[in-house]
Amino acid sequence: MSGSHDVQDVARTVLDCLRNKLFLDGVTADTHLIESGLIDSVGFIRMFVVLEEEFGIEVTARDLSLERFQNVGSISRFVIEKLAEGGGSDKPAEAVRA
Amino acid sequence: MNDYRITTYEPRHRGAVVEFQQMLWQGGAAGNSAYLDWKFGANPYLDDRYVTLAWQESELVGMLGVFGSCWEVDGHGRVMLPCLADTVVAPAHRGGPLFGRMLEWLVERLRADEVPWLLDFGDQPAGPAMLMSGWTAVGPWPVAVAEREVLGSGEGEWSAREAVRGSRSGATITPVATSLPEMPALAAETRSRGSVRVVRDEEYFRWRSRNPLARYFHLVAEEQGTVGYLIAHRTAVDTDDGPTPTTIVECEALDDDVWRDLVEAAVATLPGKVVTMWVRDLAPAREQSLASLGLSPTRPSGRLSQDIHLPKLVMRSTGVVDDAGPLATLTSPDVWDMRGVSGRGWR
Repeated sequence: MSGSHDVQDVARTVLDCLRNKLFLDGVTADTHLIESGLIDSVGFIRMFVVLEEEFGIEVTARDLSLERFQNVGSISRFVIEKLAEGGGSDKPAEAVRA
Repeated sequence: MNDYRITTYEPRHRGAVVEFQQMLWQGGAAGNSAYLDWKFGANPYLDDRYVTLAWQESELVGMLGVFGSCWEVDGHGRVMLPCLADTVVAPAHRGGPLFGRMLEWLVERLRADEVPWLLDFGDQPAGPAMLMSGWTAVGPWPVAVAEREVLGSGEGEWSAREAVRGSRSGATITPVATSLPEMPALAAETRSRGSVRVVRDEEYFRWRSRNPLARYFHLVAEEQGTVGYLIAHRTAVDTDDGPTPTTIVECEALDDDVWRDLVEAAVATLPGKVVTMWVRDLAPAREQSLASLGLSPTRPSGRLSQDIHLPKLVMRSTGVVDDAGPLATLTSPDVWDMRGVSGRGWR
């Protein structure tokens, strides 16, 4: 992901992830992910993994809110906030073993 | 598809529940029936009044089990807090609104009865959705895991094992068939690191040990009296070489050496391939000794997707909490002492 945090660029990438990595058929920029029933809890976990891998951010329990993950737009704004906070991670995607 | 009818549990629903829960409890008709009686009927703190069922016409399609747990809260005495458990949604109805609807229906009932909190120590697939819908998480916290060659312990064999001498403390460590009165007495002696802790009296020990779908393994350490004990849980519906872990649900000792020796004996002798224990509220010396005992802690990474299977408590306020009372602070991780609590200890 480049240094540009343009919301439209991020939104295009988020939509692409939802369609092609999560295989959410029919999802559009306006789709309400929860109300549409397109995504369930297991799907949310998969989405978090995809967002983390795609954008280098970390999704924590504190980040969870219905408003943040409603649609492509809200997810994009969340990603941009995370990137601005430096919420990327160099750690591998595995739980830390002592 | 969404024309669900949500009800409380009544005795006439027993057969449907026993059959429905086979997908989770796996105890067969007799085992599931006995488990239903133990978990919600014989529970010393709460009956089955909040068990919630969802129906589509005459078919049972969802269940929320709600059982009672009892806590000592500093400045408040004992309080019963209901725990969510045994939650099942029929496969054809998963991924939709049913689970959330059952939860909201239940919370509304708890609110009407002025029950302030609903707890969940389980590993809910709906965890993220719950956290986005008003639930608060305490944790996750680390869990330590030891993998060994499969050890077996058939019926009656555990208590027939010879006692051993603790390598550090010299205490005699003996496998026993059941909990002893000395165990809750010792639990009461241990100093708490939090202001909220599960009640571990004789009544609790008696109820827990009667779980018909669980096997419990007890070790007692003695040196001129009882100086420690350990209790481990294994499901009764899996074989000793099956995939489910054996969980050390509690270990209490008067000193660190006895504690270490108990855990060492447990790791060496408990049945099953994998032994786990929660790593929370342990004294620093005890936590540091885990690695030398073959128990590798997996610590939270901070990433929800990676920590999803680590133990945690999620809780939901029903809206009737007294903001000035001690129960108002339950969302703070610091108030909880989870010793003696283990999700598997209540399954």
